[in-house]
Amino acid sequence: MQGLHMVAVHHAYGSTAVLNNISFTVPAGELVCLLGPSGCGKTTLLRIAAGMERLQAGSVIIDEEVVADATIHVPPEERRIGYMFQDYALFPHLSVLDNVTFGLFRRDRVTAKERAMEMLDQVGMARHAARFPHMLSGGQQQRVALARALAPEPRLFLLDEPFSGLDTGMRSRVRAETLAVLKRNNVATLMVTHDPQEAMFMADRIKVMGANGRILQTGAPADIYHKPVDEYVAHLFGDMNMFEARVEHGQLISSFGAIAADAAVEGTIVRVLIRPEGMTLSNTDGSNTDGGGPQGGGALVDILSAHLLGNSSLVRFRVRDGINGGAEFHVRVPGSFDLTEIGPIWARVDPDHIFLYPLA
Amino acid sequence: MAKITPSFEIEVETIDNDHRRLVDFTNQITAAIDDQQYAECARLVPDFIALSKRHFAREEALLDKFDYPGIDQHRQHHAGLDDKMETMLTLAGRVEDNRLARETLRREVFFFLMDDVINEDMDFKKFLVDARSKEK
Amino acid sequence: MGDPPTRTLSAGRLWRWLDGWTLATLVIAGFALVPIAAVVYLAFTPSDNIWPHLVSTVLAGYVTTTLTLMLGVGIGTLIIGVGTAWLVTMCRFPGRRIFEWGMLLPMAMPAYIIAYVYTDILEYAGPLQGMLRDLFGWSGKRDYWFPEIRSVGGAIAMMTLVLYPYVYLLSRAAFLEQSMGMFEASRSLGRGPWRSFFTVALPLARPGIVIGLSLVLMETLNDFGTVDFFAVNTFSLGIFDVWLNMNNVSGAAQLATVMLLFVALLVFFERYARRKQRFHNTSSKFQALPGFPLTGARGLGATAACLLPVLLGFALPTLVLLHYAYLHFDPELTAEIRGHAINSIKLSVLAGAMAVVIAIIMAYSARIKGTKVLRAASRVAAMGYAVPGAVLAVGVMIVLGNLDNGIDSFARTNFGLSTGLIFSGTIAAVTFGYLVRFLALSLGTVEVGLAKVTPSMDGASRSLGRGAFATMRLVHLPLIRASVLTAVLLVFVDCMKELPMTVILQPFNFQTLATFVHQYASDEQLGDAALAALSIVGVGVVPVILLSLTIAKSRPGHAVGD
Repeated sequence: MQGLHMVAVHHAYGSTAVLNNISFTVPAGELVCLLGPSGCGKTTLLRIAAGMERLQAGSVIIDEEVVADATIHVPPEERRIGYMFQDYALFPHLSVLDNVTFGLFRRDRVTAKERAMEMLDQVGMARHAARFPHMLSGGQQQRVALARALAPEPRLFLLDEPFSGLDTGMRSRVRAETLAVLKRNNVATLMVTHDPQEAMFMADRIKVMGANGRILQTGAPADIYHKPVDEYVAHLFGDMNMFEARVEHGQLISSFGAIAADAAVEGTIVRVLIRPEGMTLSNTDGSNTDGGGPQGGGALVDILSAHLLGNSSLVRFRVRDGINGGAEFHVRVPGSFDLTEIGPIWARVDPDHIFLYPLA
Repeated sequence: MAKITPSFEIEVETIDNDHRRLVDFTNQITAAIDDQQYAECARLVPDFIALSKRHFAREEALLDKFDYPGIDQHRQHHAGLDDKMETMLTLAGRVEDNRLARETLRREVFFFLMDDVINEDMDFKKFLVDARSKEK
Repeated sequence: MGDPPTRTLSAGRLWRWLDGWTLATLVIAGFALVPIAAVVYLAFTPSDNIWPHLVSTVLAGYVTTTLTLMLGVGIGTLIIGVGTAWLVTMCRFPGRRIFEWGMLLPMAMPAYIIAYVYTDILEYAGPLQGMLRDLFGWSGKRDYWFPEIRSVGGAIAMMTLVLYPYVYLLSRAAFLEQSMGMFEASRSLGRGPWRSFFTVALPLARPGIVIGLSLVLMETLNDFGTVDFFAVNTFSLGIFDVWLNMNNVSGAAQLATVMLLFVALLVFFERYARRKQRFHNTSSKFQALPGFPLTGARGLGATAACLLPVLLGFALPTLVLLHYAYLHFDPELTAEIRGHAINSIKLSVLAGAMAVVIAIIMAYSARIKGTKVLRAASRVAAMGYAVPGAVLAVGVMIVLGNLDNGIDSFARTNFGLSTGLIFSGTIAAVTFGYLVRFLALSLGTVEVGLAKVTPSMDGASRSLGRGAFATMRLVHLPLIRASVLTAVLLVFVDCMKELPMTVILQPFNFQTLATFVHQYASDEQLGDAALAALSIVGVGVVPVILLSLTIAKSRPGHAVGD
């Protein structure tokens, strides 16, 4: 099977397990993202895939070749991989061109240079081939590192927090460029990041890792965003509104009216998580429009504050009465929110953006 | 081409056989898409899904029999795959005229096979192997 | 391409090749350990046991003399070193910026050279006593009292003058790293500057001071030139006496083993202090130092206190040597000295280059393998810095002598010819001794250099397909070039100054600058050796300059316009 396969990988430093029975696949041409907090072992996983860390248990397979298991340890230089480091690790004593040709030593000088220039051209750095790393900006260094790692046509490409050294303005641009270059080179790519937005943007598949060294959820970015398996994963993608509620007759008891709930949680108290974009505000109670009577109406609220965030606004409000009376929520609404608007305001919940989890 | 090499074996015959058949399906689906046999592809996907469901049921029964402590989690994982399987069925209906649907289906089937079927089973491999050796 | 044959090998074979790094390190550590082990082994299996004789006659004398010397030098260097370090870091007075590095100058002066110079000045026939006799009309020794320079006291004074920079350097660093807040809190709580110094600053700086002191005492134990010249019977002298005059190697090995106990104790103190130092320096934030202004008489007093050690430990002896070199200039002798200088340089370059190659192998092995075994091996290999030259000389002689005899008898029985002395009669012996003693210098320097290369550099090179050896050649070596040169230089300088091992291990009819100076000075012909002595001092100034530059670059917390 083409691509990278890590099967049942365990890793421990002393008596602390950092990776706990991890298995996953990065098919050729796809980009898989390991998303997790720092210290969750995701970089260790990357280093094991590269052969920079010795595998303790399990196996690592690249393009049907077992490169690490209980008896085999193929060193990094023989794995035909590309690795991009958080600090880019450009060789300071070599020019940009020499950095990129560094891994092309198996070709003759002419073709090596041709290939290097082709890669530099792809990342838009051909003009700077004669420069030295210290003369380049962070974004330029990142692009040279990308060209250098891809030049020898690796079977597998590994990226360790490749954009964390860049400032926010630069980051999204470099991200898009990197993704385009990776897709063009059609290489199996494993990337490690702690930034959910980055993972959503780059990945075909996201693997969410928890602090316990386990994979909590695997899926396409949309799966993870819309169906997070637990509170932890749900929280990864930003601040949530949160309250506890009892489920009766297949419905959540809340100030926001009837919210359908799974039969499995009938009669229990559950934790309810709602994304800020999962609520809407309106100046009608909605009873006329959806015909759901008082239940479909939502809750009457008092607006506390509103912050314009560009093309949307974050509005804080407090529920006036009912079972959630006095509780504060925040909601993201499109455009700017006019605080001076007079009249009562109701908040409603979009059932697609609501997650229920049993109390731990 | 996908293939079950020794690294991917659970070392439980019924399960490994299922896995092998699912791998065959995956390869056929991929090949059908590559060869533009879209009708063939649309026919294969429902069978693939059906076999997956039977496999999940067999697996759960086996885990039940040996009192695997993580059974609930595993069952939950299987249950959580319903949406993905629905998606694949929907995509299969559109392969004929939609390039994006073909590409997505190809990717989804492979990821489903590797991540959700095979890799996920590595969790109980050691437990099952130990339990069965005790039984003998 | 010169790359190791790793690329196309299977993983299993590569693993074995990588183990070559471990093997090389263990072999080197073994070589470093062998002379010391040989000394201890011979001490317990003597061929002609004179131990009871030694115990009943000279041993007590060696112990008391050595201890007296260590005590005196210890106290002396503590007072000068800590005192000047405190003045220079915490106070402002005329000339402070110059003294910051100037205090290091006596480091360039080997103790034996300063001893020759002062003996020349202060002995009965010397200029000072002659002047006093003329001035007061004394006619002979009985008319007045004058301290005898050739005594334990004299040796203490000489060594103190050139060794205090170790204490100065480390206590200065320790004072700089202290949080000034703590010191000022103490003062604001009503304690005066003196009491604050003794109750707050000094205890906090203790680990640094102890390290400096341990190094001073190791050097004191190591000294041979001074005690030989002054006929002060320390262990070093005793070892040579038993070995060369009583012709009893086992006896020398027994004394050397006792001496090793002293060394072990010092190493223990040093290591212990280093561990505590790491613990102490948790706050790495440097704060602006207040710089108590010392004006008027107090300022002049501070200037004088710093000036005096530099004057006596460096400036005066250098001037005297310059004067002598001028007076005794002789083209013929100069040509001879040039020959010895070339010998010295050849030997020191050889040792420096070998030491740095070995250091690179060890440090890089430890880096890529990172195993406990390798780290331990590095520590063992670096142990030689603490072992006195006399002990190492005995050890090297035992090892190489046995090796030569073995080879010789093997050749006789198998080929019917005698190989003679292959190693022990050649510069191989001296070089071996140098390597064991100075490996720590090069290893430390290379390790510091390598530590500055981020691990991702290794990863980048390896993931681009280059093996461990190619990575070292193409990435690490170019990046640590400065450290490599510094390492060569430091070992070079110490080899140029080295006396005890060179005296014993040098081949017949082979002299270096140091042994030449030693021989001439012992024959009361310092004037003729002045040029050679000056050359040694000149070489010794180089690391002082390097250190000064480091100090100038890392002067934390001081105002720029200070």
